[in-house]
Amino acid sequence: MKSKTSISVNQIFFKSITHYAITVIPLLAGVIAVFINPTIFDISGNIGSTVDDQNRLLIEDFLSISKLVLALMMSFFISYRWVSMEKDGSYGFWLALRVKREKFVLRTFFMFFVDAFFGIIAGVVIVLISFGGILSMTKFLILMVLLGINIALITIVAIFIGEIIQDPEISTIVFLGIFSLNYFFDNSQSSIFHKITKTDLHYADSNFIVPMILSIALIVVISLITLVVHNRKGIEI
Amino acid sequence: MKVVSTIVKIIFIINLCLLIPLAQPSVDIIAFQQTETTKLIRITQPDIKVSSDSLEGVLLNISYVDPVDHSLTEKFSGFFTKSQTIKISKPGIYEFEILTTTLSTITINGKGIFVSHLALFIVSLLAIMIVLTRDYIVNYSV
Repeated sequence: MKSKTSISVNQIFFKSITHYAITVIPLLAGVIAVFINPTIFDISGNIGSTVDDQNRLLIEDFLSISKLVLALMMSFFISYRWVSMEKDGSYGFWLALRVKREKFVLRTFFMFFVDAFFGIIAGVVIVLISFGGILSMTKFLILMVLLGINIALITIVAIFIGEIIQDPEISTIVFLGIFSLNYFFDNSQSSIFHKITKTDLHYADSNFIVPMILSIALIVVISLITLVVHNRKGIEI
Repeated sequence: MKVVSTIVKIIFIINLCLLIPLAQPSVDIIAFQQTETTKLIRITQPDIKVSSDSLEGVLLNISYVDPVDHSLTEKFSGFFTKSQTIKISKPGIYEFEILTTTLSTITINGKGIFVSHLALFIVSLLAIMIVLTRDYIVNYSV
């Protein structure tokens, strides 16, 4: 027995290829980007540090490329569709059938989060087992937690942008701007912007707690604002 | 059941990535005479074929660099002429030490695919065949 909320979310967001687009395309892009990387290195310093650097670069390249493509996918599949579902009346139809607004937002967030998280974690595992960059278990767990937080941030920002901007095309471009422009800035590891948008790259640091808490605080604030704005909105039924 | 079939299809596409090392291009190293050339190469395939264009023998030393404690494990040590196939137990970064008497180019080619990766791929292939057959029977049976 499916709930009314899950049927409405499936009808609005997950009808066609959304699952495949969110899960598979970022993963494939990341793996191919890693594969194109050079496989022959000179030794700089001693062997151990060179090997560590190359293994770290492998995972960092994968994460940057796959998250960039994930943002590209989410800009269409969340931000664009979030605005258009309020305009074309498909959301109003489900509201008329007494679907709760908070439940709808949280369910959508959860579904997209699970898809994206599963895809990127599977990609990390594929890269680790087929390219031989072995991580220790604690590092891997820290990476998983930080990745989860970062993907949750991307997802909730996509919903938030779709919520506050009333035009589908502009919301797509604003969201893409936020998450792709930061790859063109040469920002250092210590800047707050880096800590928030690239939380997962801090998995090897000793103080990974600071970026984690910053991102969690941002997620809580943005999700509260989203829920409040969404509840007060007048939507035509 | 629709959820299961979607998950199985996604896992199958993900497992296709395990076959990517089959397309790995070869790597060339230029070795100068009388000086030892040391390079690190990332190997993603179980067998490698090392070949040189010089007529004389080449002294080759291959060892695996452990990514956690950086210890070296020797895989091959000795002379070879023309070409030599070497078996490697796991993917990772390997250290190549080469010493030749003449200026020559050493080409390193990967061959084959790891049995464990192939097994994962075949399991997912069987799963997707079962799911597609079931979908077909449910949707098109009279």
